[in-house]
Amino acid sequence: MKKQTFLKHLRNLTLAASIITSFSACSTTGSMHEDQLTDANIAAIVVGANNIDISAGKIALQRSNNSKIKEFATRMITDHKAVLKSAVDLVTKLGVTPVNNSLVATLSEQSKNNEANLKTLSGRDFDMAYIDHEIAYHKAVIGVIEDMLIPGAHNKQLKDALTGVVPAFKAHLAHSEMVKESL
Amino acid sequence: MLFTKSLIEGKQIMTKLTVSLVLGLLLVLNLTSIYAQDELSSTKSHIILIKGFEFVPNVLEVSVGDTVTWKNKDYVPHSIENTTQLVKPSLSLDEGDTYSVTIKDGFNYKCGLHPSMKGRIIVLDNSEDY
Repeated sequence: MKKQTFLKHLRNLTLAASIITSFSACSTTGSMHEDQLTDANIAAIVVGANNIDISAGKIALQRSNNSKIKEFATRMITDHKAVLKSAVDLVTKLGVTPVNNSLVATLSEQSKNNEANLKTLSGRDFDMAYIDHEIAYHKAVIGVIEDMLIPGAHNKQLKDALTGVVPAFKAHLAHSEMVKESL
Repeated sequence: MLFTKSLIEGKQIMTKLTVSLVLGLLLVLNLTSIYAQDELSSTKSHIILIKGFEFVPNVLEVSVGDTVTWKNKDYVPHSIENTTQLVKPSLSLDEGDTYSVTIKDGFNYKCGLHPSMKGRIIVLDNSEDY
């Protein structure tokens, strides 16, 4: 059931861009039951989700000539690096080592395909594809965090940190929608 | 007889000195009190926290001459910008950084880095002597 919820959110990520190495910091796929997320799996998803948007932002800085896209991409890189650092600091403090599972692998694979698509585009086509991806990505991640990760977190500090990061993703979603309207 | 007269005069002088000292002390205390009241009533300082991608409070009522300070409690940077150019935009505020302005008029503002974050300063009065 949880996997279905996750995949439902991932359907919003068809335009998302990423690289499989987003999850290189995580250990190999765990053997946990598909429906039971561990804090280690949650940590892997958080690390991966932030790396996906950092990676997409770097592609936007390389390929876009639009100042609003570049400004937004810079903001995403800065903010998601800060969120990532905070997450890594917390799991390190908690002694949790991120462990990938099949859900992380699915997210990673979809992101890899979308990033490959972005790299074939340029000009306005790229800008629209990138910002559409950002809107879809942030909607999907907000859904995953609220519906799966927060309810699934066992450690209170991890649960609180996940709750605390939602406003950042919502602000980014609103920002991405403003940028799209301006294009 | 002379000794008694001198004694009485001495007591009168002492009494005058005591009264003068008490009056002087009261005057000093009164002036201090007036000064303190003036200090307290002239301006106030307000703090707006930036946390969870929100300005807290996002609407603040102040008087002209008050000081408003924003303090960033988030681990991502934020900034202060207003559309009417009444206030010079802040630089990027990292966690723990502050930005202060003296209020001359009310204005709407937003985070220059995250434009969905909005706030408002409302001036309740317009002091003539500011």
